[in-house]
Amino acid sequence: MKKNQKYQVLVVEDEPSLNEAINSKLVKAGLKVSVFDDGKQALDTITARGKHFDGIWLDFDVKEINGLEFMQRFVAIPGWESCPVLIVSNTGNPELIQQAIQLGAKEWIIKAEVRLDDTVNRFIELIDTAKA
Amino acid sequence: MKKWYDAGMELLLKLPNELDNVIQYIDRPILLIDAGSAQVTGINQAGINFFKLKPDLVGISWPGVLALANVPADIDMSSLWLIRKDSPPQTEDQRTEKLTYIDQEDSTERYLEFQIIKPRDNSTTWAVIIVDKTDVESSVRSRSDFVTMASHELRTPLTGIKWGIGLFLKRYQAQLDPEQSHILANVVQSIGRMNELITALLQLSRIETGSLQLKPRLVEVHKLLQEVIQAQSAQAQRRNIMLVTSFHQNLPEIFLDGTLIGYVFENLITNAIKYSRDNSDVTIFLSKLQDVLLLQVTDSGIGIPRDHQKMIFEKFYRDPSAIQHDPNGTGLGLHLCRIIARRSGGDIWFESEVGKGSTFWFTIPLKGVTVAAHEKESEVPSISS
Repeated sequence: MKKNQKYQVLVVEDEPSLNEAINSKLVKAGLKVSVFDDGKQALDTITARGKHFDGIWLDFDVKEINGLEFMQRFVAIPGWESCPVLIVSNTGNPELIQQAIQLGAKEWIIKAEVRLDDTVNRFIELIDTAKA
Repeated sequence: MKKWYDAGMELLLKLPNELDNVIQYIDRPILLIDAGSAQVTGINQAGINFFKLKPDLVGISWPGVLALANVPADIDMSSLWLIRKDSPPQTEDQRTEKLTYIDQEDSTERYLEFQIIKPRDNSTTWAVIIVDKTDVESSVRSRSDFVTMASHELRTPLTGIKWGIGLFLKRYQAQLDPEQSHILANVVQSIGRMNELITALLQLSRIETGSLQLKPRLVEVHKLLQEVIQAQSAQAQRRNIMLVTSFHQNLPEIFLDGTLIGYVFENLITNAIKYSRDNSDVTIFLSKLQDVLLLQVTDSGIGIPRDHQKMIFEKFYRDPSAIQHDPNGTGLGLHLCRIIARRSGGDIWFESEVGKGSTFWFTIPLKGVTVAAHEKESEVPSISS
């Protein structure tokens, strides 16, 4: 997993304890992590500052803007396709899932269905696949 | 003697003839039924005795024949139909149905179990074996009554001991030397454990006797969970265990028994903390799926050895590594959790690996619990939990 060390990822999650846990697990896996508790700030970082990320971990239900709005604005950024978005949510609403996938999200994980460690592994796998 | 069956040869085609006699004299009622006409086509001696049939009786139907066993006419027997209308065609070869009723003749409560066996080939003859569980059930009941009574009786003096020690400590703690303090602290801890055990035993016997009534009300599940977590957070902090949480924020109120569901939450979370290593995480997620709420509680603790995994929901069972880790558990917590989960229309399951930790999942139907008709009727005399 040496190649992970180069991955620069963005995590949007507004629950402080979870936010911290994801950050520490990703850092432990060798990734460089920028954590945001609100989607708007995260987007500003990408657009205004033109910062590049290798993957985005997006809690669908965060403050300011919801996951769909985030996706709509994210896919307007040129070159977004190279950066897989994993949506992680406490909602299992099939319509929302379908809309998010149609907008370009790679995958939707329902938080309680999957162990956090497995979600972390899946996230890294998605980036590996995008890079391959 | 007339063969014990007239039809239904197909069912026994591959069996030796001697089996005829065995079945004839077996002490459980066995019936053969034609699925098309619902007519009973064969019955053994135990069945004749059970239904008090006259030898010349012809044309009895299933399950109408149960009226002869003093089953009241208003009991819903649709679960006993060979082919149930409300469910897809059954693929299983055998299913078991239960029937509880008051015998119309002697007014005793009876428990019957029906093993309904589907033919293996294209024959339309089904077999039904009736198991009379009245004696077994009444012995479970009298044992549970005993446990209930004993627990109540134990609780009174225990309260006295607790009160006495509390008072003693309040007055004399300052005068005690460290050894005396230590001894008394152990006593207080033991009292707490005994109290816990008695509470669990009482819950269990209520569940076993059916006197534990679900008392549903509209519950905000994430608030209930939050309260439980709040109550456990000091315990977690003491061992530097981080409670990582995330809940669905917009849940509807659900009609369920908050006390019992809270008991499940509490058990899963205290277990996760108890079996965790110091300085580790316990994650608690509550998500909303299409028909259910799903709770996940994950620890990175000692884990459950593979060969003990299928036992952990059994009554009083504790796996040896858990006993070593904490000798004081009752072995009742998860057993009760599973009963409560199922009574509430949900389920509980887990995955675990030794040294890596355990994950428990618990579902609650979004539609809430439906209180069965017979439970509603007896709502008044229910015991509070």
